[in-house]
Amino acid sequence: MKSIYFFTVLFLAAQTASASAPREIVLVPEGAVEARQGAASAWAPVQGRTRLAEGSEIRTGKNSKAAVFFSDGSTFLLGNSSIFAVEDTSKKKAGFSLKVGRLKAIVSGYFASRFQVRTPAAVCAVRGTEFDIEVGKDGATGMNVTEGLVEVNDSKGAMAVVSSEEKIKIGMDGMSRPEGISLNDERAGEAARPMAVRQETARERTRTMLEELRNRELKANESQLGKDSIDAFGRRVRLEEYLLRPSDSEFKLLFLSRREESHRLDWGHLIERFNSKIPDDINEVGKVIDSMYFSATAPTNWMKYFEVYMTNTVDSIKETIDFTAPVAINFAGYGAGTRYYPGSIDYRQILSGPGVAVAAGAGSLTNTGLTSLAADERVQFRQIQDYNTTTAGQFTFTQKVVNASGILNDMYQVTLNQASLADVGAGGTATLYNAAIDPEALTPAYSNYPSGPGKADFLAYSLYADGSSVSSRKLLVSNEGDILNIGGSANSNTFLKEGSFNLELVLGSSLFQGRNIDILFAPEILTQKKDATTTADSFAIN
Amino acid sequence: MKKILLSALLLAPACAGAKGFELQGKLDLFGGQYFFQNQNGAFNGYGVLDAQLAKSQSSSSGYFISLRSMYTGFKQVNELAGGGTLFQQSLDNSLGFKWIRRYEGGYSFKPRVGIKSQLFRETKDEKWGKGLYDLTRYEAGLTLERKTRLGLSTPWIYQFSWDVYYNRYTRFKTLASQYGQELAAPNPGSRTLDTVTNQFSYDSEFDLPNFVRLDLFAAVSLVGYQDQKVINADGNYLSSMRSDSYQALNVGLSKRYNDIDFLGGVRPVMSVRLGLANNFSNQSHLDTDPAHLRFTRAYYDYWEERLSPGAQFTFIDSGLIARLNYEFAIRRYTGRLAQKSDGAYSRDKLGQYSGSFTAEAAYPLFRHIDIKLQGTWANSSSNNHYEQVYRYNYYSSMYFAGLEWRF
Repeated sequence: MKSIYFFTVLFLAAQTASASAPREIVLVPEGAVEARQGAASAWAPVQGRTRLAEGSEIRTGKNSKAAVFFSDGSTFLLGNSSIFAVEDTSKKKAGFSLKVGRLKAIVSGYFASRFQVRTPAAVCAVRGTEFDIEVGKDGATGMNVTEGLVEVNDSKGAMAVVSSEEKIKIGMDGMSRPEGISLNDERAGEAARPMAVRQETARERTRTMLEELRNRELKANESQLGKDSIDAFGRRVRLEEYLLRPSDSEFKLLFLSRREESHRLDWGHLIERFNSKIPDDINEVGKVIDSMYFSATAPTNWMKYFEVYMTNTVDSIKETIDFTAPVAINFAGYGAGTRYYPGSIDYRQILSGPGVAVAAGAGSLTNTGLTSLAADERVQFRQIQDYNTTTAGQFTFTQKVVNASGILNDMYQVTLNQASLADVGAGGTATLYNAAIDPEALTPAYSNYPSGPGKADFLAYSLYADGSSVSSRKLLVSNEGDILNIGGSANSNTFLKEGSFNLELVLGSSLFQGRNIDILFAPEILTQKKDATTTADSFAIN
Repeated sequence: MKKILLSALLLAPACAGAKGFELQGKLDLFGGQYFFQNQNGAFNGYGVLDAQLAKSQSSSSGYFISLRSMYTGFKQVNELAGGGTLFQQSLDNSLGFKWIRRYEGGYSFKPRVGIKSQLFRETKDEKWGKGLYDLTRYEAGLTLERKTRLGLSTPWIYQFSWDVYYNRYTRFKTLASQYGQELAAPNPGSRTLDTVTNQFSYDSEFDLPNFVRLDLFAAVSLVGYQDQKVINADGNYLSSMRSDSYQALNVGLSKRYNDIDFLGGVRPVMSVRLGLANNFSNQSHLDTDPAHLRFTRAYYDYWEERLSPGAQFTFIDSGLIARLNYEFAIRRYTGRLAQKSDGAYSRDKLGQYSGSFTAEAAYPLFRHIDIKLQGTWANSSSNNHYEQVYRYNYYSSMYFAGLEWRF
């Protein structure tokens, strides 16, 4: 009698049994079933549950069947007129043979992976869960795989993996090509059987994963473009920035900060207006700005006007800078020769809002240098730096602040001979100082460090002679909204350094009636403003 | 949506008891924590219910309803890290229906529909249902399948699929569309993240002799942005909408080796997966940073290569399964330039390199209940050193532990 050899292997241990399960094999007979301990023993009828040992043989009668249970949950169902043997139950393998008859195997546990049955005709390795096999008297074997995979080797050395709902015939002359079981065949599985549903769900998840990744990418891009951040107070801030070109010599950046849960919008703009047309390629604009400070040759274009405007939609602070054309200046006092530098730089800080409208000096043009101002606007501070206008051949630096009546008044003036090493070394010559309106003298003691030293959180506060105040709090915050730890204490230069943190600017004023302006934006705006307003006694020539 | 899913969940066991219905799935309940650099996320829970309720009308036709409900109380390393938030809670619910129609010769036709809702809480001031990136996805698909053989030896299943996804970010509208008129802002479009994707894919699975399995997946996705206008070098938004084309190719190979005679037997399975993907987009980008104004064409175009070796060891005596997996990915942007730490643009194209290692162990407590423990360590590096708003160079990790019940 020919035998068929099986190696049954559970490819994926999908259903593991208890860790301490004994390797038991139990026979449950139904009808006339006989067993013997080995080929030399006599057949004896089996009654009830019987434990099978290595070498045991079982044969079922004409109208009988038997079940063989394994401790891991695997089951063999033996059909009638079958002869089955347990050949090996060692650690390395568990070998069985079906010499004749029918067997249905339901493989579900780790133990099944080492099953083995030998025959000169073929070798089969089971990688799946359920199959049935029939061995004829001539040794010809037919096998149907209900679920899973069975690997078959025939006596000619051919190999085939037989999959779910496929059948194969293996004879002494080799195997046939596996064929699919017809849907009309009673052995065909159900269309939505558990394994098929699991596989289909997994494939669908693979396809959908691409869409999941794309959506994750969209969100990442919003962050990479700086459109989504957390502020120092734990609130999500959505940021948008837009570039506008009102004319061919001007561009405007619009920046918006929206805090959804606080129902507030803070926004602002940056305007840079040039003397003549700026390049269409926006990438070139930076070179135009660079060329207006300390260039050795006369720049062909320069910035005429710079404006930063920030508002909470009710109150606002506007900072403007007017430039005149760069002129040739002897910078011998700085160790440089003749360089081009703006002839004058005129900076103004203008407050507006309903609180400003009712304050003293609202709308006043006195000392502002302006020709118009709205009724709810007031120039709080002005700083002018000119060359060769106020003082021949020298820089003059003048600061004006509001007085007790809310009107701009001269507070401080210094002249600087940039061609003189001695004058530069002395920081120029002070020509005017009005301590009565100097915010530095009027402002009471307060802490510059709301979060304490060692944190990039700096508050600057100024009290003016009319009792009004303006405060500016700058914070460097991580994407999580954590305030940056720094060595030492923060100062205004802390916020101009390179780094991986966002800049949050909180602007307040006693004229804002309890409101503030809170904007996250690119720190480069501050850098440009600082470059433009660096006073004549402290600038450095690169 | 939540009510529908809850009802479906409650009804599922009852339906399973009805004639011909079969319920299967799993329930995972874990606790875990996320770490980003030296910051610790809070310990929180993670739960997934994954269930399918199937009914076969015959061997030719049947259908199944799939339900997936997931709560994540902590962030995972595969989620947005560089610009994201340490704090994150998400609630995903999805419901799908698929019909299976089989024909003689191994052919199948499988249409499906589905809906998914994703809710996020990412900041302390966000409430459920108020997340900026809350997403509802409507999806439908058709799959044509053929089950055949490659020669004598190898079963071969291949599928052609067409899937359509409509992603609607329910709460995301550009600020310019809300306030633009009063600020004289340009109009970039309103719902700029909403997309319709048509995805065409091909999937092949081969069960080769000697316990080798090979799978191949290729997809082309045409992503149409419904309201994201293309920007030009002047900062103007054109009437044409952004349109992306995403291509992906994945090849996976696994082999089960002979059991190793160690600790009662160890069964190793080795695998390797290779993925290639690229994205082409007609959208450009204008950097409005005043110091680095720059217009970049092909800003969203990139190539990505991904290599992922893995190993699984099943300890036969104890039932313990240990899995180790490493994934290395390179993404090269073809238009985007790397920036120096001060934001200045370099001449090099931006490249992102990421690696992650995952170790997982599952031990069977009972027949259908495993105790599981997983740890993942990830790092990301890049030639982009400008990290004002997004971290390109970081390391992160996470762990979770809990129980899985399969039913």
